[in-house]
This record gives sequence, C-alpha cells and structure tokens, in this order.
Amino acid sequence: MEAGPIAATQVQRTRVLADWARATVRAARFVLHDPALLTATVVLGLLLFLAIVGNVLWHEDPNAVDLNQTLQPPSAEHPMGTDSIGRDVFARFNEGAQISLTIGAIVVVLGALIGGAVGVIAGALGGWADNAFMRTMDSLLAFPPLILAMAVTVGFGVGLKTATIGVILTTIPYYARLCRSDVLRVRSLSFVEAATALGARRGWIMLRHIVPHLTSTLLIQSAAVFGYAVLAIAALGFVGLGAQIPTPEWGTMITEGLDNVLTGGWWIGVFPGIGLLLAVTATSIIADRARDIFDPRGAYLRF
Amino acid sequence: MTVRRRSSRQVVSAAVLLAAGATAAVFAFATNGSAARRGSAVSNATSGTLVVNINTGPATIDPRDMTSFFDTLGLNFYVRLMAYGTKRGPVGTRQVDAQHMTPYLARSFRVDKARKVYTFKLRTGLRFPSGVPVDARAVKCSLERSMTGIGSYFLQDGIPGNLTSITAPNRTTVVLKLKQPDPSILQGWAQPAASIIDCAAEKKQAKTWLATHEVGAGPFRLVSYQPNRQMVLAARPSFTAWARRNGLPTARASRIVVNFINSDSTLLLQARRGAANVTIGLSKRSVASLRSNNNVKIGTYPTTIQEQMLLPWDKAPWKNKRFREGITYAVPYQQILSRIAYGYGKLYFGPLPPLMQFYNAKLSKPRPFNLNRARQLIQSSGVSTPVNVTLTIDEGNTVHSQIATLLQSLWKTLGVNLNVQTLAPADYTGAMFGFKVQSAIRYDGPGVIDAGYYLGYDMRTNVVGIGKNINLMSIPAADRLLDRARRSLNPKTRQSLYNRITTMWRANSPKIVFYNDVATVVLSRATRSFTYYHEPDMRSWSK
Repeated sequence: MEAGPIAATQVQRTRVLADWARATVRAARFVLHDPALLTATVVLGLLLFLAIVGNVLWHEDPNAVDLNQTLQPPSAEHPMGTDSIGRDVFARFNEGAQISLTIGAIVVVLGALIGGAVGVIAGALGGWADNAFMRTMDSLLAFPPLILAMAVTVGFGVGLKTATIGVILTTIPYYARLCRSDVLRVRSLSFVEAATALGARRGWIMLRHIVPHLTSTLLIQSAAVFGYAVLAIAALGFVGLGAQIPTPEWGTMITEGLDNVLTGGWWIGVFPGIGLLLAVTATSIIADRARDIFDPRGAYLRF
Repeated sequence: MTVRRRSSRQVVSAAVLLAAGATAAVFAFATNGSAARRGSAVSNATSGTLVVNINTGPATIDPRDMTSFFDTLGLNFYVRLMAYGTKRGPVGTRQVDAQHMTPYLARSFRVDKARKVYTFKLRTGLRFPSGVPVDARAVKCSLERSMTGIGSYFLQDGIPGNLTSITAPNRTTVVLKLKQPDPSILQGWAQPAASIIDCAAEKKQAKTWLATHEVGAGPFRLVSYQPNRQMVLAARPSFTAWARRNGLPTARASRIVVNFINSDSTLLLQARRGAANVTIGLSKRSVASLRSNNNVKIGTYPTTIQEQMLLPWDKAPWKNKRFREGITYAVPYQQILSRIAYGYGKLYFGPLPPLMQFYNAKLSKPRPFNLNRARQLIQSSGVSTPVNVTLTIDEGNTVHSQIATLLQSLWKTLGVNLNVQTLAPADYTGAMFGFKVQSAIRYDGPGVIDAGYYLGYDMRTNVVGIGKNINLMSIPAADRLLDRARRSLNPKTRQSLYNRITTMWRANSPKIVFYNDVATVVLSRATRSFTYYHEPDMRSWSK
C-alpha cells in the first residue's frame, strides 16, 4: 500500500485545520483592534442581553394594559414610554428583541441546514439530480424574497410561525447555491481524489472531507442572513402578516408607532426602529468582517 | 490606506446612508406619497374651490346600490322626493334633524287616513341634462329601478314588501301605496335609493356604468371621478336656477374637490395646514391632537353608530345568557371611551342609540365595569372555564385592535382566553355576514335614523328579505312588540312599546356596546358654512 497519498491527505487536512484555528485567534485579536467590529459586537451583545435577561430584570409585563398610563413619554418609570393602551414600551422592546433575534437564529440554522444539505447533495450527485435541485432553487430565486415570504404567509395563514417558514424558504436557495459551488471546488482537490481512490464511500467523503470546508462559507452567509431575517420578519409584521396581537414584535410595534408619530407619541415606533437598525447594521458589519477574517489569503492574516 | 481608516470610513458612510434611507422611508410612509395632490389641494383650499378630504372612497355611486356613508356622496347628483331637515349644530354649523322631513322634489304631499297611501305633488321646471323633464314618470321609473336592488330595503324603511305600488297618474303626481302604515316611511324616500335618475340615459349604458357616472338633475354634476382617489363636483346651473325659483337651498360652493385619502397621517397634516376645508374620517386620536390648534374648528355630531362586540347566540359560550351578562360587566367602558375614543362618544347599554327618537336614557344606563360581578356571573353560569374565544377584528382598524388587546389582557383573569384574529376587510365582512365568527368587534349603525328600521335588522330574529340578524339574537317577545311599534301611529304608544323592548333587550345582554360614536368633522377657519348629515348633502358646504 502506498503511504504517500494518505500522508499527503492527512498533512493537507491538518494544515487546513491549523489555518482555521489561527484565523479564529486572529479574528478575536482583530475584534479588539477594529473599532467598527468591536462596536457591532458590543451592540449585538447588548441586544442579546436585553433579549435574554432584560425582562427578567425589568419589572413590567410587556402585555399588561393600563389605560391610566396611556401615551406617557419616556421617563424613569418607563424608559421608553408607554403606548396607546398603556403598555410599557421598554418591556415590549426587550420581548421584541427576543422574538427578532430568536427568529433570526432559527432562520439561519434551518436555512443553513436545509439549504446546505440541498447544495451538498446536488454538488455530490451531479447530473440530473444536480439539475433538478438547482432548477428548483432557481425557481425560488425568481421571486423577490419578501414577496415570496408574503405569499407563503398569506397562503398558510398569517402569524409568526408561517412568517418564519416563509423567510426560511427565501434563504434556502442562497445557501444551496453557495454550498454547491464550494462542494464542486473542494471535490476537485487532491485529498478528495485520494480518498476516492482508496475506496472511501461518497457519503463518507462528503461528511469527513468536504463538509468541514463549507464551514467558513456557511458562517459568513449566516451572518448576512441573520440581518436579513430580522429585517424580513419586521417587514412582514409591519404589513400585518407577521406577529399578531398582542405579540410585541418590532415590525408591528413600528406600525403601531406610525399612527402616533404626528400626534406626539414618537417613542412607540422610534425605539423598536432603532433596535432594528442596530441589529441589522451590527450583523451586516460582522458579516462583512467575517468574510475578510475567514479568507486565508486576506489582509487580516497579519493579525 | 490602512485597514482601520478604510473600515471607519465605511462604517460612517454606511451609517449615514442608513439614516438617510430610514428618514426617507418614514416620510414616504407618513405622507403616503401624496405630495402632488397636497400641492394642488393647498392652492384649491385658498381659491374658490371647496376641498373635502375623506378617508374612504365610495364603492359605487349608483343610487340603487349605495350602502355605506361613503357611497352616499353620490346623492349630491340627484334630487329626491323628500329631504332631511336641519337644526343648529356645534361651532356655528348645522346638523341633520331626522324628526323633521321636508319636501324636496315634492311640492307637497298628503296621506290618507289609514296612512297607507302617499300622494306627492311635484315641483315643475327641472330637467335632466338630456332635456328630459324630472317629472312623475322619472320618479316612477327611478324608484322601480331601485326596488330591483339593495335600495329596495331603504326605500321601504326596512319592511320588505311594504311598498306595493308606485304610480304616476299624471306628470306632476306620484302615488305610493304601502301594505302597512309606517310613520317613518318619509325617511325612506329621502334616502339615496330614492334618487331620481334619467332612466332613458341610464338604459343606453352598460349595467355597471352608473357605479362611476351620474345621470341626475341634482345640485351638483360630476366633473371627474377617479375611484379611490378623487371626485370633482361642480354646481349645476339648471338646478341652482330651479331651486332659487322654488325657495330651496342651492349649492353654495361652485366647485368641490373630494380627495379620498386613506392615510390618517396625510389627512391630519392637510387638516392642520388648512389644505382641506372639510376633513371627514380622521381618527379620534388625530382629532384630539387638533383640539388646541387655532387654525381649525372641530364639529362633533351625534350618530346612530356604535362600536360594539358581537356575541353570536349560536356559538359557545354566548349561548349561555348568564355568561353573556357576566361578560358585559367585564368591560371598562369609561376608560375605553376616554382613552381609546378620546371622549368622542356616549355610553349607554340598550337597543337604541341616544340619537334615536324612542331612546330612553333612564332605561339605557350604561352597564358598570365590575369585575367581581362579572366573575360571579360567569362562575354561576355553568360554563366551565377556561374558555377559548376567537375575536375577529378588521385589519388596519386601530380602535378595534386596541379594544381587543385590552379585553384580551383583562378577560384572562376571568378564564376567558381571547385569541385575536385580524382579517382583511373583504374576509372580515364575509366572515361576519356568513355567521362564521365566534365574536367580532363591529363599527355599525343604520343609515335611516329610525328605531323600527334599526331594530328590524339588528334585533329581529328573522330579518325579512335578509335572513337572520348578524348577532343571531332571538327575543320573540321583543319581536312582537317591535311589530306593534312599527305599525302604531301614536307616539306615546310607540314610546311605551320601545321602553318594554329596551328592558327585554337589556335582560338578555345580547351584545357588548362599547359606546355610541360621535362623528368628528374638522373644518378649516376658511369654511363658512357646513351641515352635518349622516348621508353627506353638500349643498350647504362653502367657504
């Protein structure tokens, strides 16, 4: 048996893993030296803190109605004021953060799993299966993403669940195409050829040799998709197709706030709007940096 | 260029772009992209044209098919046999007086002893634009046409089959015969459905042509109409001359531009700036924000409309009378009126709203908010809690969603779990009239200001010609009293009968009445004359 190809495969794999580890350490060091990335990370961290712990520490129930406290401006008692039926906007903001960030995470995970699986299978099988999968993905891509999500929501009943499913559906094709092209690229590398020559099964090669190389692509895409998902759910809530009464989702809160902008109740819509802006901007910056950080030939190597 | 300098520039640029985009989006949404219309509206408001902004456009301007307040804009193109009287209103305006009906096209009328035969003598000299005279033949064919559509319900004052004959023995006489006497029938003949059209001109057109055109001889003619956007009316000289000769009110504004603007923010902005002389349909919250604005006057007018919650009797838990009663004690009526309706309403609990002739304030006192009493009644009703109820509301209706959210939070403590379902307008209407809702919040009231007419479709078990009442309530004893009240010509007898109906209605707690709505109209300082009608007759509107 020849030791050359096996050793070459192992060395190459070890080198790739070492590069990845070094890149991760560099990423951590880079965060501290990049003001924009540091700010984005801190902002996202703060929103996560508010989402997870905010309403545990805060004393108000986000759905508690108090008609004696309607349209109160921001104060010490209500840091973000109250809405038109006396609900505490800060408590609703925190719960809205929980909903938006959780749904963002669900969309990212499920989109990556399903889209990634489709891309890997298509890339691995090739031929008519590849064509079938990719033409299906193309047909989904033909629709503007938000319109497709709206169609799913309207078709299956309005609400957060169907809105989330609609948004997941719109992210699957992007993951699928990216993963497929990565699979085709990695498949042609010599260590994969070597594994094939040694008689390893296709599934084994996919799982052990190819899928790990998709990680950085998936991470970068996920960071971008997270921001999109948060915005899409808010957009569906804004037009009444997402969260329903009394769920405090940021998009629906902005809609409620719009009715009060000209009559003086600016805080109802502005604070969730700022939350949305911060969440999406922070994840966009992180996604932008992630691409550079995980590029093994990138400028961030010097860190 | 180092990585750090490039990255901070990128961040700053991105932040500026995002902020600019967000600001543009907010303003685009807030103004509803109506900048062009706003510009022309401002110039119109200051010139001789009266500018009217309304939040909803008509679905049709065919008199035979008009049902909503917005549809009835079309009555301004036509004359009718009768018209509503007016009385003094707030802030120097006038308002409709349903107790005094006045002849319009009719010069006079007499009624036989049995009050079943009405003989109208018509004024002469009015012609349609085609030259055809507005005479008894025109009245006969117009009314017969309306009898073939939804208009027949209004023409017969909600007693289908009551108008048995329409004859024109000569050019100036119309005879209408009823099956049973109806003291309020004259209101039916002031309705848009009783509008006199040029039948010959209408017959030459397609079936649905009249939904967007007019063939009348009334105070205004239709200059242009873009459905759901704008309608322009101009005073009709032939009507003006005829009305002057006959001592009738003429159109005071030579030209009226009616804009249909469904954005509350845009309506508010235009009202504030004086770009509109008359604003109808502004939300109560927006009207309240104008209270301290010296550029406008706010007219408030009683209506027959209520914000109510249906409790369909064929569905659990509303089948249970005690449960229904209990739930009516679990509503903070005063707070809803003051905080959600901003005080523009009146509290009562009974079958007849305060504006109606036989309303009894003593018997219709508002139900108090008493959670303990509510809990007691619900617990003793036999209905096991927790109980799940789906409450259907109209999409985009802020008042509905606020009330629904409030009740959802409050009723949880009583073991009533409200699941709020928001439906688009067409689905909402379909669900309600298809009797598919378990409960719904409804903003509704009659177009005819008559107790018998209203209870005829809102309370009667079997609504003749329509089916069941929308709340599926059934109080047979009250139905029998209603039949007697509608036939009686004695006001005292009628009052006594309606008092008994009120007592029975309250004992059954058939639905929740949040409040009787008060109509709010915002008038610019330039508006000189305005009369509020529940069906907008714009003759007296001017600046």
